[in-house]
Amino acid sequence: MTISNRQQKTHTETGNPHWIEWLTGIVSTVLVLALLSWIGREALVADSKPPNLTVKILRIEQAGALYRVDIELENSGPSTAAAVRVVGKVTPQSVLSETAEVTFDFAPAESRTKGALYFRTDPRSNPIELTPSGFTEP
Amino acid sequence: MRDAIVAYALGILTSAAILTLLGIVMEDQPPREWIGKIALQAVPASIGALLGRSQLGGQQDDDKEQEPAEEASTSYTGELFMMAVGALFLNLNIAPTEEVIAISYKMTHWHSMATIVISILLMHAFVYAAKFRGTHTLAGKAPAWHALVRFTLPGYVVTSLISVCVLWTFGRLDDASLAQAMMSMIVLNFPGAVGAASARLVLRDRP
Repeated sequence: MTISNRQQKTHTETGNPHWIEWLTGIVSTVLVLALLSWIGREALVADSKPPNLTVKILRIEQAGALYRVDIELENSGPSTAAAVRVVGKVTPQSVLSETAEVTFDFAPAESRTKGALYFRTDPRSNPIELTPSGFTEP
Repeated sequence: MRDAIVAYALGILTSAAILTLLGIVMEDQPPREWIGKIALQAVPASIGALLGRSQLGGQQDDDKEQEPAEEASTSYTGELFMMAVGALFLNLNIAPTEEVIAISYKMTHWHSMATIVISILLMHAFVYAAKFRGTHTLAGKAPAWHALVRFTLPGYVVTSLISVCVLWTFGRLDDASLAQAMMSMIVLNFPGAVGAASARLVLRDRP
């Protein structure tokens, strides 16, 4: 219970609170300490290692005259990469290879991000290669 | 109840007007998008309308309030709810920006630990130490850490819940790892904590 004194415009917290206030307080203290110690542990283990980027194909679909390749960029490293460029190359046997590229604003640490590339050549019947080609530190 | 409905209606109207003025609601967009944008913007706008009323409201209203009771009591859940409203108000204004996420990417874990500690200290100082109008004091000889455990830390947890809800609403938690989600939450908790603390000073239960 909080008593508000309107003359002085101040609140006075009561001296003998209900047990539920202490219960809430203790649970909250435990939660905040757990958050702090978890981040502290991460800080000791994780920092200063570079991002670790891999690209995989989720699915290939025909989209009008083009082929859409849905991709997933996974960063399994402990730090975030920004402006990640992913280049895809489809190499048909007879003609020149076709490349497409996409830039992901961020590849957050230990997270996955989705995107897509478009090709004129059908990547289902020709070899396709996907590589992350560079990133910046955020 | 009537106040709340009027405030929400005003929130919707001003949001619609301002979003149209700034070219965010355009006629070439589907109505679904208009409604979504206005509905989202109306939440902080209506809280702002209530805030404006409680802070700048008419004089007669205050006189009426002064008479019946010299001491008004606010329940514990009331205090926590006010903190939630305060946190929601600031968070909804800040969470849609790209910066929250960008800052959380730049921060190291040490930075985020410091941010948690500073958010909590700021929250506590705002309500108990700084001599603002509506400041809180502890009764009798209760040690200072009582208020920290009973009010400030639960307030921080409430703020965290609100931050997670707001981040989720704006799709900021999609595909993010738990660690990354926590980092974004901690960044958003910083303004949220200030909002929660100031709500305790500003908002009152009606006697």
